[in-house]
Formats: sequence, C-alpha cells, structure tokens
Amino acid sequence: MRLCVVGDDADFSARYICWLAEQRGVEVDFLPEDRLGVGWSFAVLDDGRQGRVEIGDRTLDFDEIDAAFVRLNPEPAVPEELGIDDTAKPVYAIERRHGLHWLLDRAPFAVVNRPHAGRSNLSKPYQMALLDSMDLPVPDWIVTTDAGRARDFIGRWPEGAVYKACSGLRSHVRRADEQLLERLIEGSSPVVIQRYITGADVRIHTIGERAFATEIYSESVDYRWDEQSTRYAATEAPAEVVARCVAAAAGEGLDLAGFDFRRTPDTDWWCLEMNPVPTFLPYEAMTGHAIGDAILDFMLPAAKLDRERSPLLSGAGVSSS
Amino acid sequence: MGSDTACALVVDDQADPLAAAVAAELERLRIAVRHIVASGLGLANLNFERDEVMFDGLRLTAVFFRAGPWTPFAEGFRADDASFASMEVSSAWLAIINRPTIAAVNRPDAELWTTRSEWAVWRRRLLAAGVPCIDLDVGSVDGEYAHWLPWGGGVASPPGEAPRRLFASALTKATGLTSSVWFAGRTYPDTRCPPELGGVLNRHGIELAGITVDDDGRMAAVTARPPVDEGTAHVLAPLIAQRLAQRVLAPA
Repeated sequence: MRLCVVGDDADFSARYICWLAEQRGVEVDFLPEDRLGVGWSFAVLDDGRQGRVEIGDRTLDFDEIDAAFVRLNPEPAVPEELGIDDTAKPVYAIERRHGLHWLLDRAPFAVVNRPHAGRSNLSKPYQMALLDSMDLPVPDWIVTTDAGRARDFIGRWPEGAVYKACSGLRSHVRRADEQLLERLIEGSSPVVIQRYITGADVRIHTIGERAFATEIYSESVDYRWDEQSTRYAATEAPAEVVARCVAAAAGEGLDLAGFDFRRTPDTDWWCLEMNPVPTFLPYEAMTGHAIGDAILDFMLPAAKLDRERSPLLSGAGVSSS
Repeated sequence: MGSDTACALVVDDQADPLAAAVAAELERLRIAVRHIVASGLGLANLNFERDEVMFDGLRLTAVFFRAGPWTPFAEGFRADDASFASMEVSSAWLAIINRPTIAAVNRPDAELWTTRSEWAVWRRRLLAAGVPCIDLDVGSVDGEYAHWLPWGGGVASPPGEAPRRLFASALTKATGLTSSVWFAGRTYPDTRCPPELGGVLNRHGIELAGITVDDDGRMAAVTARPPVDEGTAHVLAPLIAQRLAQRVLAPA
C-alpha cells in the first residue's frame, strides 16, 4: 500500500500523516512541490486514465498509488539551481502550481483534498452566503467601506460586532471599534463586519462522514492567535449540525474540512467558516481526537485502524476493525 | 443621479471596447449607468448587506464586470497595501456578482474566480458533462504534439523537455485551434462547437465566454473573460444591454 504526501515538506500536518502511515506499514513518498521537475516529475496521460510519477530513478504507475494527502505552501520555493531571476519566480511558481493541481485533480486515486474543492473559502462574503444556503446559519454581516454604515450596523447588536478580511487570507478577527471606524474614514478596502456572538468557539473537523468536535476556551476574540489562554476540550455536536457540515463539505468537494462555530449558551450553533485546509494537530493533541488516523482510514480503507485515541496522547488505544 | 438611485454598474479594465459599448447601450435604453475603471473600485464607497448593494450612494441593480479577479483594483492605496486591497475588493465583488438580486450576464463561481488557469477548470467540467474535448497529455516528455496550452492561458508551440517536466506542460495533438466569442447560445464569428456546450456554461452561470475549438469542433479551452474586438463589441453590446435591462425590469 502506498501513500504520496504532496506539497510542503515542512508542514507539521503533512509530516504527521507520513509518520502515522508508516506506523501502519504503508509505504510513503513525499513529493515536495518545490522539487517538482528536478527531484520528481509526473505525467498524466489521457486525462488521468493513465499516468505515472517518477521519483529519482523509480517510476510509479498510477495504479501503484493508493492515495495522496496534500498540504501546499502558499509561497513554495523555486529551485535555486535553475537560476531563475527573482522577477520570474512568481510566474514560474504559478505555472508549476497549476501543473500540480492538474495531477491532484485528475489522479484516479483518493486525494485529500483535491485542489478544486472548497474554493469558496477565498471570499468570506461568498462563502457565508453559501453556508447560509446550506442550512448552516451565519451571524448577520455587512461588507462596507463606509464608517457611517459600519457604526449603524455595530449599534444594532448589544454585544457588538467583529471585523475581518473579505478574502481568504489568514487574518486576525478583531472587535469592531472606534479604531476600525477611523480606518474607514481614512479610506479602506472593504471589510466584513459581523455580529459578535457570545458563546464558545467550536471547531468541527469532518472527514468523509465522520466528525470530531472540539470546544475552545479563550480570552481572545480570535483564539487562533492566542496561545497563552487557549484551552481545547473534546465535545459533542448535535447530530443535525454534524449532518449539515458533512453535507456542506461534500457539496464543496471536501473530504476533509474544518467548520468554525460559535455556540451560544442557548445552544444555537452559528457557523463562521468552512476551511478547506484545516489544521488539526492542536485539536488532536489537546483532545485525543484521532483525526490524523481518521484521515488515513478514509484514504486507505484497506489499512483501516479505527483508532479511538490519538497516539499523540499517551495510552492511545487501538481497536480492531 | 441622486442618493439611493438605482443603477447598473459597468466595471471596465479598458482591455477592449466591450465595456464602454455596453455602458453606452444601457444609457440608450434609459438605464442609469455608472461606468467605472476597474482600478477605481478600491476607493469607491461600498455597502453590501444581504441583497442590497450600494455603490457610491447608488443602489445597484445590475453589474457588467469586465475585469479579471487579478486586475489591480486599488489605485490610490499605498504601494505596500495595494496588493492586499485588490484582493479584498476582488473577494467582495465575487460575492456581489453572485447575489440573485443583481442582474449579470456572468456569475462566475469561486473556483472560476480564483483560478489562474481557467481553461483547466472548464476542461474538467466539460469532460464531466460528456462534452467532446481535444486530447491532452500533461507532463509528457516524449511524443510529438501540435500545441502547448500554458496553464495561464493561450496556445503556444510545444516546449522542450526541461519545461515539460518543470511545469508539467499540457500538450495536445489537436490541430487548427480557433477562437471565437460565445454569447447566449451563439458564436461570433460562427464556429462549430459541441451542442452540449451551452448547457454546461449556463449551469455554471456563464452567458458570455471565449471558446477555442479544434478542426473537429472539439473543445480546447473556455474563458469567461474573453477578449472582444471592436466589431464584435458593436454586435454584442446591444444584445448584452438588452439582456441586462430585461433582468433589471423583471428580476428573477
């Protein structure tokens, strides 16, 4: 059984998946994006009906590969030995990225995730409208450049509002305050301002039809940037919420997805985002959720373990399947 | 135009004459129009809440967006902010174009909007729908081919072995590739293409497209942002304006 891990060889999630797979006796080949064409190459013939990956002097036909796990770096390196000048590097990297996308989109084996999946995440207002249409209620929001409209919107909510970038760039979510209004008065690109929901952060990872819910305690508006006060705990999500997440992920072509929620004290579940490249290591390491193993179970059903607890926690148990 | 006046917005990257021609036709049809150069979008006053979009105090009812998602939208921003601001503007307009209350001829989805290799996206969709497409090998270092389809678009002569490996070049043996503009079921100039094409374009929200086909009428490429020459612009502009006007007057 063989797994290819494609992309960024410094990515912790990718390295962890490699290690887990090797623990199962799966052969693993790491295919770094920045070495495509120099350390390894591929051919996709006849739209994926035939193909091969060449790694050094080895050749693997597609039918010798069972699955691929993908973690791409937003800014992959360009091989120094090619002597490409700095101005041409971005063009080179884009052209190479699309070639790699073709492989990952057309390959006949399981790929988690295929690159075309979950693109809605690159525009928050677009994705929020989509989530709402999929029965995942999203807190009220506006997109604005106007301080007056922003002030009116923030004033509607007794608990205030937060603001965030419109695009999918990873950015801080902050309280919508006088500083934001001043920025808008000075002239700003559009921002998303969203009703703040009091409650707990919950991340639901979905892998196929399985789901793992983690509650996050933090003193910050955006726990992702707060390592000091953030605590994670395994929790349960209602079956109907999980079912909607699974359906939404499938609708977007995502085998692996990360949904961010705010759960109110009245147990209303407000969806904030669906992430197509979710990090799972902190959630797994802090809760014992065996998310990495679930990913491998999904990609490589013949090597399924059904492990109940993460090996990152001591005393991890393995059940037979 | 006063505050809260309804209007159509034409966003023009000035790469071809179509945007200006459509703006003129909309005015002729007595539809209020705001015709703006794409680089000015970043500093315009924008409010978008649920299905209402206000642009510089005008309520938008239609958008004809003739600029790609990578167009610089942020003239007037500091140089170190401009790239981020452009991306923010682009992300906001993707959502706006897709609101059902905004009339549009093209409503690209997120994948189309965010890829720099549109033809590759369309090829996957066309093949999935059973539309005949040209043969294509990717990354092959041997074999004779007639054309290279660079991922970023266009058609070129096949490159040598090293670029084929480095870029995983897309190569085809198809010959006689020709391009035309598609609008609402017709091609300009008249071009033989698969009858199933219109259904696929419609399902993905696209009425105006550029298509490339081979000698046998098989699909080689599609773009929802086709370049349009002066003559074709004058033929298409009244049709596009009429289509937008109908939707503004009788929204879905």
